[in-house]
Amino acid sequence: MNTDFRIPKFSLSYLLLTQLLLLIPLLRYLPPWILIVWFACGFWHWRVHHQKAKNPKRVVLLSLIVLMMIAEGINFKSNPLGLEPSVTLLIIATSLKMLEIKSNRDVFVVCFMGFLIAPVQFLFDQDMATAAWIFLICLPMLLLTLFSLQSDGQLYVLPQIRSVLKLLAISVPMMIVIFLIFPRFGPLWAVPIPGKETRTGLSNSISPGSFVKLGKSTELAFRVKFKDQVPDASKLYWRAIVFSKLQVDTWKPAEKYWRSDKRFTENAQLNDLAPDIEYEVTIEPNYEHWLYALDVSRLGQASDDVRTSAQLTFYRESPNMSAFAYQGVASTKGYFPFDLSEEERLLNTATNKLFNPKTRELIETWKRESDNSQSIIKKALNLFAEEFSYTLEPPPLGRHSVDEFLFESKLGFCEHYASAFAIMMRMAGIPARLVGGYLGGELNKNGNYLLVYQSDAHAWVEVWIEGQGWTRIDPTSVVSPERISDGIARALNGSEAYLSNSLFSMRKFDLLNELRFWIDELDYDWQRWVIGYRSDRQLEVLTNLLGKVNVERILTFMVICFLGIIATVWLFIFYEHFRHRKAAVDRAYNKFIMQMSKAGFKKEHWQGALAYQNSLSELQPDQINKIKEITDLYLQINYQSNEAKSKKAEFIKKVKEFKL
Amino acid sequence: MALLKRLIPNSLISLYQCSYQPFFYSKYNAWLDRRIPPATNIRLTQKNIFIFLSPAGYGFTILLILLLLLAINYQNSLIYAFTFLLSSIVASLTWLTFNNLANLQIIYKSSESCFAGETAKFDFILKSEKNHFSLNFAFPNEDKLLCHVHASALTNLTLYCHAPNRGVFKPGRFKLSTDFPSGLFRAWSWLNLNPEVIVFPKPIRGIERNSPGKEDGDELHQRVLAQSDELAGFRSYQAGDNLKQIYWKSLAKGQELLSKQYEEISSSEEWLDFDTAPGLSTEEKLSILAGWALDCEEQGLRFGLCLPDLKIQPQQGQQQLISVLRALALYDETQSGVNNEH
Repeated sequence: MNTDFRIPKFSLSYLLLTQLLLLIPLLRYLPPWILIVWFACGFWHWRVHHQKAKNPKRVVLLSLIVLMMIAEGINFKSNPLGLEPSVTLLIIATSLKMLEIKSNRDVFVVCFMGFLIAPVQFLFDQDMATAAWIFLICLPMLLLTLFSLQSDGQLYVLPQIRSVLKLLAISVPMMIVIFLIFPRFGPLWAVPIPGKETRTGLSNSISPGSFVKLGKSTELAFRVKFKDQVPDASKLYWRAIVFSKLQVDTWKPAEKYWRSDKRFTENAQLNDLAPDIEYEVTIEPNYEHWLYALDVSRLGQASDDVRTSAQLTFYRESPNMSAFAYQGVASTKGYFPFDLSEEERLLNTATNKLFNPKTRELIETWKRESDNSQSIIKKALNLFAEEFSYTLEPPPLGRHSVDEFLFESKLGFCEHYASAFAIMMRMAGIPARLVGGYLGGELNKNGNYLLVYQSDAHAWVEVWIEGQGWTRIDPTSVVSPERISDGIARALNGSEAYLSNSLFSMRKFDLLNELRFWIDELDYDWQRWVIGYRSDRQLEVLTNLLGKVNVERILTFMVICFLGIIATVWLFIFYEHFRHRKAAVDRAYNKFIMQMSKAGFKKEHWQGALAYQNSLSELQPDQINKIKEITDLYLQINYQSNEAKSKKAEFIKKVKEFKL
Repeated sequence: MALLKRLIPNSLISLYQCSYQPFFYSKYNAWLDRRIPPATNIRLTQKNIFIFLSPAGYGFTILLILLLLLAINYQNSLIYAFTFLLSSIVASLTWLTFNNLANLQIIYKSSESCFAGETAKFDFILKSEKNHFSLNFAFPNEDKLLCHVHASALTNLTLYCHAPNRGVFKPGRFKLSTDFPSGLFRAWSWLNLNPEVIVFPKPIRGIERNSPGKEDGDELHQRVLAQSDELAGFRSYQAGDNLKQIYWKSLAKGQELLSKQYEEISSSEEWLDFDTAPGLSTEEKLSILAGWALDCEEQGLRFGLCLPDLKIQPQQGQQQLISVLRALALYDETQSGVNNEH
């Protein structure tokens, strides 16, 4: 190995700049000390490059690696195999590799690792801004770095940037064609996903306080487009998870009913409810299996891995790792008349008898008064109507959480009310379960779609009534009717905790709202068409493009595109050819010489045109004249810069006509 | 490749090198000769440019496959888009790398002789209507030379090649390759511009000449001073100088008496004789003769060469040295007859 190997000077600057540009957006998700690591390694290499330091010895390098491993282990002790630790490892590896550059091959490795880090950014974020950053800024820089290794300092910055951009421009059409056609598969194996700490969204357990964090978040959960009118706000219950298992005061979904049930695969029974509201949901990635359905829906057109569960929720076999769109058809009657098995009845009436004695006593009192389910429900709802308030800052509850909530604090968020109500129903022997999801959404008038944020997360109750089946009851509607009709912003207007998020306070300004909606519309289209470009969308696009989608048409399309590309390349070559017409002149002269050589008058390679002409003295005079003309023209074109097209054409013509 | 070589046992490698490789090699060379025939002036076109992935290109392909797997497993549209964009860039790069060699003209100019075992020098001219960057030229097993060609200006290229044996040395094809602009593809061509050079035998210095030439005479009389007509200078008159050589004009001017000095022609002729040269083999004899020729030229003597098939009359100077060395280089004992005895 040549220990004196150095990257060309320009390349080093490009390389470090590219790495910095790649690192900056990733710092939102990764621990900040990797910036220090990268900077240290880059600085060290810079000094080695300027011969002020030496590459570290193998021992030092190994101990650095061990140190980095330990740092990473400490940082990610909760989830060492997640996405963030893997990406951190990649960046540390790239940085340390810079300390080991001894040959050209090592530089290529560092360069290629940059090409790997760039798309990793898309695993965290796929919005337009990130796409623009990577495709318009980072990718040209990466190519510039790669190319500068070959140019040996001959090309300056601007010409190189120009050639890189030209190359990108040429390559985009082919990329679009392949993007449209390339089949999308499901994942081949499970891959690391972002850690739970960094994600906001519904989780698969509800306990008092679990929705409070969500209520303060401004992140988008999903967007919905309705075929017809947007339904009334009070009908916009988005069903995600059903919680049947109660453990003291924590609700969990019952695993058994998570998967699809034969009763629902044909959606026959649901048709009785006359589903008539068609909608399309585009979700932001939640890295879980559940999707959101308008209460109650069946799936619209068949989507490859979306299923309906026994509890009428939508779910996917593989987790949602990027934006995904699906269609549903809903009926908002809000209940479905199915039978309850004994097992289900037991599950949905189970409570822990050790807890909440006061509540139990209250329920017993009501039962004695009247055993009718309807009256118990009414009494429970009436209980909430007085002295209870809806707040984002409920006090923490102790051992008998329902008792404390009902009789002492009387302050709660949606999950407090739903949980307390459901527990009361269970104590009364009425099967009840919790449903988690979202309620409402913000309407974007321009695009006519709903934006549903994490702050719209909601929990409500489903109660089994004989003859009606599972009926939705939302206790929050009693406490805070504005929550249902006007959304959480209005319901909590005046609450400090809510307005602490400055973005919402900016919602007061209409102009900013307009801008916000306009940008969001662009983002929505981006999510639907580009990010959510999966097999069903692909089918739609290709059907529009090709008529029918079958193998012959796809192949024809590919062949046409390929021919189109070849035609473009040909045109390019011809353009280059005509730009350098002197080449034609030289070729004509060569032909002339070949002709003469064949006749025995060979031109030595050290003879100039004039010398050659003089050596051809044994020919007949008229031939000598013609040769003189040819040689004169040739000399004029080449040495007198007389590049007039006419002269060139004349010369070529004369050579053509010349015959010995 | 080196890694693969370590896996295959040495015996198999030597077997291959003895039997199959020469066969494939000769077929390959024959094909090359048909495809890129020798010429003094070669213009690079699709017919004579080869292009394929460079080692870095293989690595990049692996990177692309890795990215595709990432896109499939995460079902991430933008990673798909990134991968496809890189793939189409690679496709465009094929043409760009090819274009860096296309329409380049290489013309063979001249060569410079050397002694056996040294490096011979070959001069070429590169000509093009556009710019070419980062071109690598190399004879097989020789050092690479990097150069750039600019439009509308002739570039001189000098290549070196080790010449192991004396005689007419034809190094054959050299490889012109480029990785520009990306380093992912390598475009190359094997150019046979028919360069040839005469390699002189490696001189063996320090051997005493056995001086008697063709003419007998003892040493005392060998240095017969002859005078040419060339005036070399003046010196003060010394008693005994030839009266005809006195420069009278200086006396007429009132200066001292001067005598003209003429250039001396040493008419001692050295005959370098193949038959009487010491040495066991023909090559050794030739080398010794070459050494003697160099000595003679350095000493300014007149020397001639006597080979079984060729005789060069004695002359003095650099040109004579070159003629003698050429004759020694081109001496072919199979043609001169069996009898080397005088």
